[in-house]
Amino acid sequence: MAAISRRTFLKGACVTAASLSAPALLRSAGAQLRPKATEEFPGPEAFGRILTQALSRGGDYADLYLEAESSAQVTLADGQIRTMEFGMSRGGGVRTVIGDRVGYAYAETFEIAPLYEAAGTAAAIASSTGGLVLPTLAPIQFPHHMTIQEAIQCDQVASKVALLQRVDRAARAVSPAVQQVVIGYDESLRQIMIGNSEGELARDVLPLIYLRVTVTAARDGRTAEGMHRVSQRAGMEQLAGEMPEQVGRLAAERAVRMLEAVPAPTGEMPVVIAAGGGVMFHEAVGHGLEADAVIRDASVFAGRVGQKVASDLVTLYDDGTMPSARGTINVDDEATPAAKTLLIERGVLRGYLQNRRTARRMRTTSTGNGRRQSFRSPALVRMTNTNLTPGAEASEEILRATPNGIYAVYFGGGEVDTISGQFTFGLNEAYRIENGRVTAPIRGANLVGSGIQVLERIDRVGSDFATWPGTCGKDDQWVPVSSGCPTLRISKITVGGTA
Amino acid sequence: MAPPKDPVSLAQLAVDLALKVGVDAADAFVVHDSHLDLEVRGGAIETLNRAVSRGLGLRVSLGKRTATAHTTDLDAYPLTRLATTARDMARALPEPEEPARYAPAQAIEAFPHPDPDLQSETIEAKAQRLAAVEQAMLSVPGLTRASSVGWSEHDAEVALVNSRGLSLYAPVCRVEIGAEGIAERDGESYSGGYHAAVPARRALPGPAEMGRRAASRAVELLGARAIPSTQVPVIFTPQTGWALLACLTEALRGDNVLQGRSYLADRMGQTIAAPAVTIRDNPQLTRGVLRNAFDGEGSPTRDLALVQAGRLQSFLCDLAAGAKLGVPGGGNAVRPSYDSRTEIGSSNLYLEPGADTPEAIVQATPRGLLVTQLSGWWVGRSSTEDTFSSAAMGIWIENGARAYPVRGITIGGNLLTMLQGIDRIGNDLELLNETSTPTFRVAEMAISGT
Repeated sequence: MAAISRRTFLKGACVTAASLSAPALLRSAGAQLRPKATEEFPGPEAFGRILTQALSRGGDYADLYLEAESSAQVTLADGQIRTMEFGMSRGGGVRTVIGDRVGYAYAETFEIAPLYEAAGTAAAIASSTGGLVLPTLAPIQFPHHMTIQEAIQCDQVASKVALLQRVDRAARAVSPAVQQVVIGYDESLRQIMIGNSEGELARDVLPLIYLRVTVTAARDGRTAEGMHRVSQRAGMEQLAGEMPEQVGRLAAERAVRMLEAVPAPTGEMPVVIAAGGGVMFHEAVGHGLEADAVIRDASVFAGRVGQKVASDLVTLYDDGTMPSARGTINVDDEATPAAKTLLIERGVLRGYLQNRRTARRMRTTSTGNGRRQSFRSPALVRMTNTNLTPGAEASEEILRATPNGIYAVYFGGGEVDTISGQFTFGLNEAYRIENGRVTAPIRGANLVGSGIQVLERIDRVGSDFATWPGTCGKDDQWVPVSSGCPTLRISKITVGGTA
Repeated sequence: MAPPKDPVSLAQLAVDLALKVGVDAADAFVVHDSHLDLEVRGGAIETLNRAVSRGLGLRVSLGKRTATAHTTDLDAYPLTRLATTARDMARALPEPEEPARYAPAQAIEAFPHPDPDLQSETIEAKAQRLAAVEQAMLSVPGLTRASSVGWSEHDAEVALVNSRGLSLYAPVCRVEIGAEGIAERDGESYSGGYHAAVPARRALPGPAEMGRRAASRAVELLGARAIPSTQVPVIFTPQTGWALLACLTEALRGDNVLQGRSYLADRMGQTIAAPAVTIRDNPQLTRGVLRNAFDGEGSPTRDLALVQAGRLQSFLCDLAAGAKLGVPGGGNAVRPSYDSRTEIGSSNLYLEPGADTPEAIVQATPRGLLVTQLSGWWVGRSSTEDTFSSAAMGIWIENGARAYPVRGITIGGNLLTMLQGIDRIGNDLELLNETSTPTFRVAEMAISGT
């Protein structure tokens, strides 16, 4: 639905140890295969007719986005396969833009007549008679940042079942305290074709796999949960070798550790965030730097380009080109090639994330961040992979240099109000720091901060790095993303515990 | 041959074809939805999104082995292909311990369409309503601008047919409105809003009222201060109290209870909340946005007291969980759409109102916090985690009166301790969302400040 809630959410969790997240491990030196495009899309002539109809009552810009997706979801709980689902969807959305107004309509087919009708519905946002003459549509070229070595076959069952059973066995083998293992596996292969009134045509194929494990441990009447998740834009090779066992093991070890957790303290204190806690930046900064929030004057970062908004140690990029990462794209959903965009450089705000509509308003160019959940919605400004650049310190040093506080290892997600700048994120695995040493695990804590204030309080940045796969919600549209960062310390932040 | 247009015939055809290709049991779920999103700015339409969509989900079983396939485009992926794909997937699965459950055939009369003229109202008229909300927001002193005013409607038909002879149909209607405003002063900005999800337009408050409420939520925070950490009574408003119920639903799920993943598993019949607390889940509720005579598996729904006068009385169950927990019949299987799996969930979930006015609850609080906004409360939410922790904003109460707004705090507590500590419940329950509460007070919670 349109703009019912401006709150933005990030779900999902992962702290991958550095060895799991490094994409270089997953790309062998051998054949680099681009995923095959097998879908029969309409040709440029059909695109031209539909776009002309979309602009039949006037308008500055129009696009037609076609999408075909096959997907599979498997869940396992209590040692049993619980659900096995296969999905096929096809459809196209037509967008007409006139000034600040947008008309949008979609049809769940590639048949020309319903798409043409949708174009007429979208065109109704405008109200004059015709206008733009369309240039001839021609394909654009762009670099690719993902490959498939082992094909994703959504209707094949046996290999997926075997994989989940391996995860389950490895998790249960960790400890007799492991009571329950719940595994969710999602894979999809999405083919898109976009044409716009600037004359650009783009085709792309996007693989995605997401494996999530939640383990419940119990002992002496106490229970605790531990999670672990991995996700790449690549083929089945991303789960090769011992990867499935590792995911199960990490989740189970986390749950068992958290059995000893005591209630989290309450108050302001230093927090060391382990590598992979990048959700903080996604919430603290990322959403406020999406140009649509800036244009609506609903961001604390509005009007602050060139100003210091964080400590000198903070350099932040949104990187749609990060090889095979969950948030990576080759071209965005408006036919703008993916890019690596510098947002903050040594604490100074350098720019915003743009899509075509915001770029037009702010008289700049799109940064390739126009993304949509599916053909059912127009593209909004969305993040891809949001990464804080590592610094020079050894992560162990950062802990040693922190007399007392919290060590936050693993996150459950977060939320931000871009207008007030207040963000919050939840800890699933965290510990007390006492006298520079990591001690008791703690449970049930949120960290809350106010955007710029917390960024200014980042006083130590490590040299390691890890990423965290998540799913970002904004205006009821969900897109896959990742957040990455090194070990870092915030000198003072509010911890909302219960003790 | 083109597939039939009406959802029941389509669902029946899918089940028949599935049986023909050799499955033992099947059910088909069809959704045919007309959808409109509208956003207004400066009194005029800014965004308009409209479409009609249709999807089908087909679940098949070979003995106990069960798989589901769903599609939107029956031209590209016809029913026979869908059925054979699902069948081949089921065939390749290991034999599970539990069979899938298919609801027995019975006639369940659907509730009538709650707002049959919804689509006859023009887009311009709907935009006018939003423009009136926007106007009302802007006329509240202190509100700087309306940042978003939006409308979303779904007018749908749902059909559920299975191989046991079950054949169900229902109209489903959902109207949603959201308005957010920004209040600015001295370099600080606060947002606040109003949101309602109802089955029919007539259930909405008037535009002026909605706009006033949205703006007030932002304006009341101007000048908000940081406060030190403390432990005080906390009053939850209807805008925030529902989060407490939402946290509980995971632990109330029968499947989580059976799998040893619920902190309520051993508490059936025990006191888990204050005596004045009754929490109901009622899919039959006339004004409920999730009103339906049957659930996602095709079982008849019923009004359920989950917590009655403080005692845990029921879990939420589908057919499988219900059978094991000795409560046959299910009724709480939720299936958001043809492409989502059926899971146990709540429908119209609410805390029963009490006798106090919200003002009387504030007056009865010498010192405390009135929480008007929460964020991040959902992050730690799970069936095994009984802690509540959330960032919050609200109004500090001193001597039984609103004193000043506060920000930058988190509130936390154990969920069951909070429920047992509910010592005042207001009379202001409005069923304007799926999960609702009146104003209520928790005797003591930890507040983390600066």
